[in-house]
Amino acid sequence: MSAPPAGDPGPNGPPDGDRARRLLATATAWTAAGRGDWGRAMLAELDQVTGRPARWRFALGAARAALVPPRSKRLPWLAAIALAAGAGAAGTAIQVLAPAAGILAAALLPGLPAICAWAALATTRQARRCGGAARVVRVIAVAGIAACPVVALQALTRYPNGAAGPYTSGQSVLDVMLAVDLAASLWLVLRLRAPLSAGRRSSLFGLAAALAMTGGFLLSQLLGVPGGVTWAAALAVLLAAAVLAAWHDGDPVSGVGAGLWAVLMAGPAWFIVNLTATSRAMSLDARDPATIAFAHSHGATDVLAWVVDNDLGGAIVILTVVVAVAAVLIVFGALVARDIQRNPPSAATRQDA
Amino acid sequence: MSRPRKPSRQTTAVLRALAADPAGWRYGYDLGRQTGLQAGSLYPILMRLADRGQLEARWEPGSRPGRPPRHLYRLTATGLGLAAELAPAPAQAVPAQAVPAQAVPAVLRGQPRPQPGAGR
Repeated sequence: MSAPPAGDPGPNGPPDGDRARRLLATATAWTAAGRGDWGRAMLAELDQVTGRPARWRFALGAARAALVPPRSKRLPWLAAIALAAGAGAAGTAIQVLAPAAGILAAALLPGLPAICAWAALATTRQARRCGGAARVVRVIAVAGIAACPVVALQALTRYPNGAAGPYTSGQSVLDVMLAVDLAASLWLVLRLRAPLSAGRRSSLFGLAAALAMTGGFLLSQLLGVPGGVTWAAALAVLLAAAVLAAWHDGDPVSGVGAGLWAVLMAGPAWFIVNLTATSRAMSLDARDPATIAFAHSHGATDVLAWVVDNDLGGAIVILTVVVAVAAVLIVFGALVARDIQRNPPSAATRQDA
Repeated sequence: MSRPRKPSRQTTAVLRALAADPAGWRYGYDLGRQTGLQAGSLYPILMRLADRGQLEARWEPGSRPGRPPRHLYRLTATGLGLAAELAPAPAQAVPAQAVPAQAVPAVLRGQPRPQPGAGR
């Protein structure tokens, strides 16, 4: 289908107070990239429906169709077979290479993301039809997410004597948290409108923010910048990206999209940087008397392994918290930008005059 | 090669409604009213038909200012073929021009048409 004719007010501009239309506009904003025209079509048809109950019935049904569009014919089976094989191989590799990770990690870490990837791919056949640059960005994002458990397992394999460390103590809970983080991130990467594709160019803000945040994490590791400063700067960059994107497009959904892309790329990057580039910090920690005493008090025999275990547990918790906090900030920033866009300062000044 | 599955009752209803006026373009809401299908059932059917090349869609030209253009649908030749397959077997020997209205397959008349408000 072609794009709607020029002059289309599109999904932006639901009449105030029309909650059914707001609901449908929100749902269609999240529909797969290739189904965008269907979302606009359903919104336009809603304008023809009269009567509150009928409008709500239409909006709810259309929202379901927008969020869970029909699946393609062959993809679910092919994707299911490929993903099941991949998850099985990854689970076996985890069991063989890092038996200390346990059966839960071997099942959940590849299994849950595989299920989410299947759910996303099976319902978004046309979402894959995006430009080359957008595809590269998606591949980078997926690679970053896939690298997280690999890096975590590498750390556990290299320092296997971290029993009684923070990760090992709460291993089951942390495994579930990491699996949920990875699965949710993968689902969003595959379902979100691709950055750099036609339309919402403001996704570039998200990519720029992700690059800036990743560079900041690397620099902070190299220069030994305190974690609080690094995180404050990263969140400021994220908020700025969401605000700029929402303001640029005049749509809060753009801000949410830009912020999400930034988190989806920078979150795994931070996790990887944190666990791979900390050898200097680790060796310092391992020589720190307080750390040594603390590790021994928890029954650790290998302080270095205990530090790795501590870093891994902390990284999983922080990754989860960051995703949650980022979501709140993104929505807040996007709403602020929407208000600014609706009531620009210059207009307010003119009204006052 | 696998045999294509028979379309569901709802899909058949949509095909019949569209085949009633093969050359005409129809709105989604009107199709929903005619078939008695809710948006949650109708639009996935339309998406599937379009994915399979059985339905073509276009945006309404010259919509009123301030109102979003509406989407219009009609069956492609493939879709019309499918609709014809779903029709009861017609009397093939009778020339098309001589067929009285009552003898036209229901699929080509868009029958049965539900009563206004039926199934809603």
